[in-house]
Amino acid sequence: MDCTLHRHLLEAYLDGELGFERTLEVEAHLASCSICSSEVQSWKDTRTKMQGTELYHRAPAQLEGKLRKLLPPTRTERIPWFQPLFWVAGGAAFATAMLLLSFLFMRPAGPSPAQAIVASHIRSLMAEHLMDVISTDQHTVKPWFDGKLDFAPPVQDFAADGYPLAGGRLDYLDNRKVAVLIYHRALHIINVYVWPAQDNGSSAISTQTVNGYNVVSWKKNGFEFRAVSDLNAAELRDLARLFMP
Amino acid sequence: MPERFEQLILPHMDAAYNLARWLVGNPADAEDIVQEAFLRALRFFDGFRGGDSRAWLLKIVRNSSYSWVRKNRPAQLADEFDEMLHSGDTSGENAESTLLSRAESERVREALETLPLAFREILVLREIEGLSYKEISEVTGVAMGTVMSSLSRARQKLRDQLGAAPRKED
Repeated sequence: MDCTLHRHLLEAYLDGELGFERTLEVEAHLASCSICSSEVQSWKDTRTKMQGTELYHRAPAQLEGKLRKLLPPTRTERIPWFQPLFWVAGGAAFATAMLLLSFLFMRPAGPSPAQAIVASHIRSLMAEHLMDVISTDQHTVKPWFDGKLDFAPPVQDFAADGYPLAGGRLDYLDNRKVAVLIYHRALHIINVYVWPAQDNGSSAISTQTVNGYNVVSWKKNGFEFRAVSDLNAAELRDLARLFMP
Repeated sequence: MPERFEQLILPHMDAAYNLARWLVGNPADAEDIVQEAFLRALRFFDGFRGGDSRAWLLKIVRNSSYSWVRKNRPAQLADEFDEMLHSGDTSGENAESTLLSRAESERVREALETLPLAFREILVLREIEGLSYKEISEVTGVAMGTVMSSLSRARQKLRDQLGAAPRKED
C-alpha cells in the first residue's frame, strides 16, 4: 500500500468507520509502516486526553428542573390548539405501550426487542438507579449476583482495554430476571444485559440503533448479551469482542 | 406527547449542554441556549419521525448556538475559515504559567477553545460526544465526504495548536 494515499483511510480507521475488509487492510499496513502506526498512536493519545472528564461539560444540576418546567402540562385546557396533537401523540404512545406489553407477554422467551432494552437502559440512567452493587472489582460483582439469580453471569473487568467495570444490577426483561453489568467508556455508560440463552451456541455480533442508542447483540457460551449505550457502535462492538475472544 | 418527549429527548440533555457550551464558550449562555433549543424541540417534536433523537436534538442546539454566535460573536464566524490563527494572544495571556507545566488535558482544552468554530464543533461532536460520521452529517447538515475532510483539517489544526510535530503532507 502506498503510504501517501493513506491519510483519510487512516482517520476513518481511527474513527471506526471502515468496513471489515478495509480495517484488516489498514491493520496489515500499520504492522509494517512505522510512520502510520506512530501517527495512529499519537492521535489515540490526544483522543484519550479529549475524552477525560475535564473536557465534557455536563449539564448543571438545576437545568433538568428548568427543562421539565418547559414541558407542557398534562392538562391542556390552557393551550387549546395543542389538544388534537396531544391526543394523536397520546394515542400513538398508548399504542406503542400496548405493542411493547404484547411483546413482553406474548413472545416466547428469547431475545427481547432492542426497543425494550433501550427503554430499560434509559430508565436506569434517569431513575438514578443505575447500580445495585458498585465495584470495579469483578470478584466483588460476581458473588453479589449469587442467590439473586438462577444463573451465574460471566463478570469481567476490561479496564486494561479502556472499558472499566463500574458495577452491576438486577433488572427485568422479557418477564425474567437478568444480570446487568455496567461499564464505563470515557464518559459514556454502557449497560450489558446478560441472561441464559436457549441453547449453548454462540453467534456473531450484530448492531441495531434505537433513538440514538446503539444496541449490540451476541451470544456466547449459552448466554445472551445485549450491550446498550450512546457510545458509537464501533467502540461498543469492541467491547463485545472482548467478551468473545 | 410530554411522556414521549421526556423519554426520547430529555436523556440527551448533557449532550445538548456540552455542545452548546463548547460552541458559545460560557455556562450561562449555554444554559439559555439549551432551554431555547428544548422549546423549539417541543414545538417541532410533531415533525420528528423517529430515528436518531440525539442527532435530531443536537441539530436544533447547533442552530440555536449558531444564531447566538451570529448575534453576539460575529467575528468568530468571520474567521471560521481563516487559516491564520492568532496564537500569540493566548500565550501572552498566560505568560507566567508555561503551557508545559499544565495538565495535559488542560492544554488540549485550551487548544480546542482557540480553534475556529467549525473545527471546534466537529472535534467536539466526534471526539467528545462520540458521534459517527453519519450522525455528524445529520447534525451539521454537511455531506459525509465533507465530514471526513473537515475532520481531517480540524485534527491538523488542533495538532498545530498543540505544537505537535507536523503530520506528513498528502
